[in-house]
Amino acid sequence: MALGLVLGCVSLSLADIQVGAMHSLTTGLASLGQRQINSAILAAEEWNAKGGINGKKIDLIVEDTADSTTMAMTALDRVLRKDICAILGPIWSFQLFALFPEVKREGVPLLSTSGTRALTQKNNPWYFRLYPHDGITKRAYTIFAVQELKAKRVAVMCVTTEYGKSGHELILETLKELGLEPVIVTWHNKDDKDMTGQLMSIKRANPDVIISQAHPADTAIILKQQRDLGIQVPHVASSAGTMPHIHKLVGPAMDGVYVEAAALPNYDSDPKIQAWTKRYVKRFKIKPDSFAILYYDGANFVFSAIKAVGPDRARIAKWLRENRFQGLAGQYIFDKEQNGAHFAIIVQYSWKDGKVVARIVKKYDLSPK
Amino acid sequence: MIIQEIISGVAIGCIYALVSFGFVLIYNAVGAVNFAYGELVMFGGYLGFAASVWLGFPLWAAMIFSLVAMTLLGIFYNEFAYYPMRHRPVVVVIIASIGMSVLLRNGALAIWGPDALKVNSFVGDGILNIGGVVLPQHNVLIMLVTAFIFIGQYLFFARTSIGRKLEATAQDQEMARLMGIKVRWMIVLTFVLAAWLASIAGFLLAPIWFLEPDIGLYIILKAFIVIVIGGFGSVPGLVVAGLFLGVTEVLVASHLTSEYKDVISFLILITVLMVLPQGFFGEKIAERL
Repeated sequence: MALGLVLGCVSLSLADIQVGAMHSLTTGLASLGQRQINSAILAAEEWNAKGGINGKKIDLIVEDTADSTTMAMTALDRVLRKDICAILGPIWSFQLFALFPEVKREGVPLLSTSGTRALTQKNNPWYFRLYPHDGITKRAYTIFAVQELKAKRVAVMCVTTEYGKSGHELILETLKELGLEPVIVTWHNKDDKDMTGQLMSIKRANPDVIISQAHPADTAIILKQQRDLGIQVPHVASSAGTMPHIHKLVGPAMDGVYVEAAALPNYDSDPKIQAWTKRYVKRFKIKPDSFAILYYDGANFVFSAIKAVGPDRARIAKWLRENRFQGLAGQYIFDKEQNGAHFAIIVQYSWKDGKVVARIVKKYDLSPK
Repeated sequence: MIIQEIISGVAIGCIYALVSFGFVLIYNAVGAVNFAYGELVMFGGYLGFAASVWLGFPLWAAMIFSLVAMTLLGIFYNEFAYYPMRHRPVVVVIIASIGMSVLLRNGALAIWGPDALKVNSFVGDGILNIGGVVLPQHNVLIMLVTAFIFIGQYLFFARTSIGRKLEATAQDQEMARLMGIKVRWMIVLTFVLAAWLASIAGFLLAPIWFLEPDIGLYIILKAFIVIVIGGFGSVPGLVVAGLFLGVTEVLVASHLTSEYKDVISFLILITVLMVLPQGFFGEKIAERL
């Protein structure tokens, strides 16, 4: 009887369509990871509520990649033990680079929201990027700083991770195209808690704008300490600056800060995005960020591919390459490098009546025609 | 501008000194290296957050709540992660402290989630401008509290009966027992005092460094550098080394290299180990380790 029940479960499980969902669910990186896995769960639940994919339930195999390449590899091994046809992966480029060899060997589509430019320059036909890469966003916010804010003396602050180094290269490259050199470049570690030294050297360089490329917690510290040290020049920050919990930490120091992003789920006036944000908050009791909404779009893109061609890894990858997908945040179409999102926005934050308020001040659409 | 950098470095150095003191308090009393001390500081801050934000307590009441809760945590730590292991090889005590560190870190993640959180400062977010040198009011509070604690600890250990008993226990537990001192209670008291310091340090750093489950790792790393530079076990050494490290880090990042700021910190550590093995004030590190 018991054996029959177990076998029954197994046969039911085999009938499901299994999709891997790996991200940082623990450690200091979980802030982004949990929000994105929530998005995948929400998308799967919505598909399942409507009968699944061609009558089969979506079974999301969720694994924690924590904050190391070792944990990411372990998570991949655990996911691959199941009969998965695609993987929604972590955002972290250091983990993705480590996953690539096995993903290639296994021939399984891997999608993620990482912005690190080099990821799609490694000739991995199984990797699909769902977020505008740094070549788009860093270019957009550098152009914005120079052309819209009329900056001539640009200070650049970057984190010493792969993400920071990728951003640093692209910012400098774009500045060069615009005929400028940064007046100063500073670096910090992602766990640094004090940026006084970096900010003081920036103050000495007398810039008219600061462009930063950093992770969430260091972005908050940079913005707060810039205000504390009385450095009153506009700050154009990377996408971590759109995260709702950062606004709570930074408070009045968000006033006048510009941030690049792909989407703005908590402030967007689009009724579809507003409705999605409400559903997300109701389900998970936490506000989504711009990565979460693109991860949700990515999950739906994959589920649509499975619906069209079945749970076959190679056919899913081919379908993803050949089709456009209209998501909540925008339209996705994979270019030759398999970058799927080609849009960026610049958001301006202000501090009004004790609250952080946002508005989109510039939109960039660089989709392939 | 250099004055600005030095003052900012002093504020950071005060936090380094403060968190190192709790670590050294336990080390001096029972000879145990407590790798979970950073997590105790983190928990002190998080308990303040829970009381002030979740329960809506005013900050002074949240501070008391944190101190009381940390008292229990200090006793728990002693009873489960130190006292049963006290006669085992030192490596067992170290592993127990690492286990405690993992438990507290994951506990914080489970209770408070992964997003960084902030506790408001007792003195607000205001900024003082003294002759062009800007100083957040909270940094002034950090310096005052650190000065108060280090003067207070000197008076406590030198002038009070209980302080002398703690000192005697730290120097020789067997002799202290023969003198009629209740050693077990003294050890419990040491862990409680260290937990109180962790609570205060957590409250002081939460408004500026913010609270994350992993922050304890950063704290213990800095504390360890300070303790080694200052002289393992030396309290005056902690103050000097904390301020030295805080100011050096700011000056290095500002004038030399921001990219390799931490490398410089570790080079200082290695240099001290080579040139001045006893640290600024302490005994020979090689002998204690």
